[in-house]
Amino acid sequence: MPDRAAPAPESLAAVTGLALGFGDRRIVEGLEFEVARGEIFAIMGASGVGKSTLLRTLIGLAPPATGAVALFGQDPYALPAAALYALRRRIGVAFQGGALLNALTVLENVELPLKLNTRLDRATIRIMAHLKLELLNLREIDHLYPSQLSGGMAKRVSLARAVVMDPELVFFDEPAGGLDARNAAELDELILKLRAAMNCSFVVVTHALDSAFTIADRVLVLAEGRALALGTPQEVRALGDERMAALFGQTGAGQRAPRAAYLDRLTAGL
Amino acid sequence: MIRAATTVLRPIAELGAMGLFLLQVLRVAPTRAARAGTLASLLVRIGTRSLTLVLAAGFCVGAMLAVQFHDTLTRFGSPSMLGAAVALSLVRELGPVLCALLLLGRAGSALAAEIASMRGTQQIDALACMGIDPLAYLVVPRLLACVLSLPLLTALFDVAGLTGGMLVGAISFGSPGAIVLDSAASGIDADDVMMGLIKSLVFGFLLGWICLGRAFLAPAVRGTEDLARVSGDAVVIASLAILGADYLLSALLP
Repeated sequence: MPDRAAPAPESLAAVTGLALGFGDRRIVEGLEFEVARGEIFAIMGASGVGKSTLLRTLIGLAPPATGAVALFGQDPYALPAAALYALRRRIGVAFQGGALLNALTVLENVELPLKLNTRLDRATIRIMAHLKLELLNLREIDHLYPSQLSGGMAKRVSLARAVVMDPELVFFDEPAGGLDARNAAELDELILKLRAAMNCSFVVVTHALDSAFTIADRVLVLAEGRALALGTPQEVRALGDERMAALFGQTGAGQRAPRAAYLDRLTAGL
Repeated sequence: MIRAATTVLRPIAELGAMGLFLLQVLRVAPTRAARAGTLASLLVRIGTRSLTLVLAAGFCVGAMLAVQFHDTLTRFGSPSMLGAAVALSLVRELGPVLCALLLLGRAGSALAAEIASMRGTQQIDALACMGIDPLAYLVVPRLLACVLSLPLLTALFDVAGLTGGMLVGAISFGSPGAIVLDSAASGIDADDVMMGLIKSLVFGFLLGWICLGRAFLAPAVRGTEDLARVSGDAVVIASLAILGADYLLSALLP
């Protein structure tokens, strides 16, 4: 009997020899990684290391300085406009500030991709949008406009809009950005719930260490203009490198995460 | 030397970018996203919300023209031509150009600020990531609304102007309204109306193209200062383009 090796996980997004920058200035270089089907892949790092620029590069919005990007095996920067839009219909993107269309209600925002990208009738579109809103606990606010939403709600609506077309891969820029600990934890739970319910993959860009270590299957840590670490949360935590310790605020094995430590300090006098 | 070259080359590069922008807009104009049903609400927003301003301004301009022309025509012994002079000035020249400048200040700057704000808050990126062409969904209906609104508003501006001229003629100079109207009707022909129509269509197009293009192509919009700069630049450039086109059309058309 010949040995049967387990099939390699299918790669949804991949970068090789990637460098990002503006003009001659390089923000980060030498990036090599793949995002496998079904995984939650977190891109971590401090502010300004190029996390969001990397996300924009992955989704075809910011060409890399050097190197190659592949989304479902295709280079988004080599495709004509129509093919690029078709490729993007296979992904969902939730932006940091929500990026909801101000003139539309929550429900209309979520319906929009279905209205313009499918030939479904109005009633079916409404049902599908309501399903996603229900999944993200947003059914009660579907009549509100973006200006009436809190930051956390806007992020959740943005996530609902990102998944309404049942994408294979969802990009989420800073889910915890600007949120309190409780709202950030709720969003983490929703990401895990969506992955389980829809069997989609996530690329999450975050600076929140405990959030990334809670939800991610693999973590890419960006610092000092390069990939400082790439692996499972356990592997990254165990690296023990001094720079990792500095980056994480000494969040090695057995140490308290920065947010927990902060809360400890905050409640110490109570 | 480099600074001088940049000063010369930048406007050429910007003109080229605006030309490409227009070609892309025309290419996506027949697509589904461009027909997504926002035109009616945009016509209401751009057209009807400028209505009061246009009617009031038209009335004042017509009244002012009556005062000016009455003195001049009396000097040359033709005060009965008051209606024709007011109508001709409004229909061929002042109606289209003033209405375009009013709409530019009222709606053009708002459109530029809206699109630039959408760029700054990643709404345009979000549309692209949904597989929706932002040019088709955002720009095409707004450009169409500008082109369609201006001739209609210009016609109303002309009517308000004639009313203002007629009232001033009747109240201040004792010219019966019917005579002023009769003179107006005999003073303009189909060519004059066509000239006004062509001008307002061209001005509406220039207004939309420049305001939307400048905002859409704005490189980085990070705050209110950038928004003010983008919409201010768009209004200034569109004003000059409208006045330049006015001269060219007046010189070229019969």
